Amino acid sequence: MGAVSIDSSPAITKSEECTPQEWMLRLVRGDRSALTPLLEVLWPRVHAVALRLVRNPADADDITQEALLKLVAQIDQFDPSREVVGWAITIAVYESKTVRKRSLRRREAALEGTEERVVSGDDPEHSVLSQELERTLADVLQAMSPADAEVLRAVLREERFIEGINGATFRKRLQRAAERLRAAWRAAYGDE
Amino acid sequence: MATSEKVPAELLLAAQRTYEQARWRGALVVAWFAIPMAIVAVRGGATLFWASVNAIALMAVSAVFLWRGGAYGAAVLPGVISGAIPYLTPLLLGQRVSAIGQGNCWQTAVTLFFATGLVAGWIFSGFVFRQHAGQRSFLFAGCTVALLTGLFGCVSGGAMAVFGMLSGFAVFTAPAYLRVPSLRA
Repeated sequence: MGAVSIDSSPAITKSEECTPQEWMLRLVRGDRSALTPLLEVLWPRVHAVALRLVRNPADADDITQEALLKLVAQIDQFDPSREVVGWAITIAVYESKTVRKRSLRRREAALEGTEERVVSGDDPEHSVLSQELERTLADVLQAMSPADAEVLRAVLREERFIEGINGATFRKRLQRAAERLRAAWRAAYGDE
Repeated sequence: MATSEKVPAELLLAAQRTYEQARWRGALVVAWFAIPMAIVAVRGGATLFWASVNAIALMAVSAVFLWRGGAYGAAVLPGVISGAIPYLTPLLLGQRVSAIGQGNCWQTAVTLFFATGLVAGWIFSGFVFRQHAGQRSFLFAGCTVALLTGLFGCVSGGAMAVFGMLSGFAVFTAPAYLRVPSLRA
């Protein structure tokens, strides 16, 4: 019974002298008045760590809020022998990693999305746009090296291999070719 | 947008909600102990109906006290320990308890469960005097839990057995209740 103790310790009268651990133990025992002081004492410490990890104040605020909410949500599982500050920081570090992975994926998706918007369908306007796009792409591919062009054409044919090249090598070549394609496209047509 | 030093107001509100949900979750997980106790009590001779009613009452009361926390929450375990004496009696004596209650030997039932209540009250009053703060709340919560726990056992001995247990329990806990204000001062 994590939230039950037989011996409840004497009430601490001078609240400004409480450590974060003492506030946490009071909160675990059911003293609702300990919640605000606990958050106030943890916020700056956790926020400082989050800011060092993500270097973005808005993200650091979100990470700190998330970490403190998760800490409070797990109050029924709190182990009194564990340091609450260390626990809060551990949660914040984990949240920071999640935020960083999410922003990285968003950036990659934004880059890939500009290539994948192929218009298709029976609409005449769509087929004209589609043909225009194919012509433009063909022009750009002609300007690239034969190896890069071969890999990109294989992808356009929805093939995931080239004869004589293993999967890992194919993927590496595709990654390099895609980067050079983006650069060539921007050089020829700008960012739009 | 929040500054790095100040806790946002929306976090405080969200934290309060999350905290109360966590306390309820913890309380409900623990309060399920009443179910296996009811099952054991039925095997000891208690009727299924009364054991079920008592289990629901004990679960509800324990969950509320554990959620509330403080002295209320701290009293649940001592209450269960104290109430274990009258609870276990039918299991130790077997079918003789229900035979005593159903027969004409109500004096025997009263005496037997008076003794179990006495022991339970003595054990519980020991816990009360170890409590540093909130003795009245502790006493109230612990007595409720102890009596509901003990009821599992003495209900098989009938109404007179229940009366016996309550009387025995009061011998020690009533003086504790009267002493408590002086202890708190």
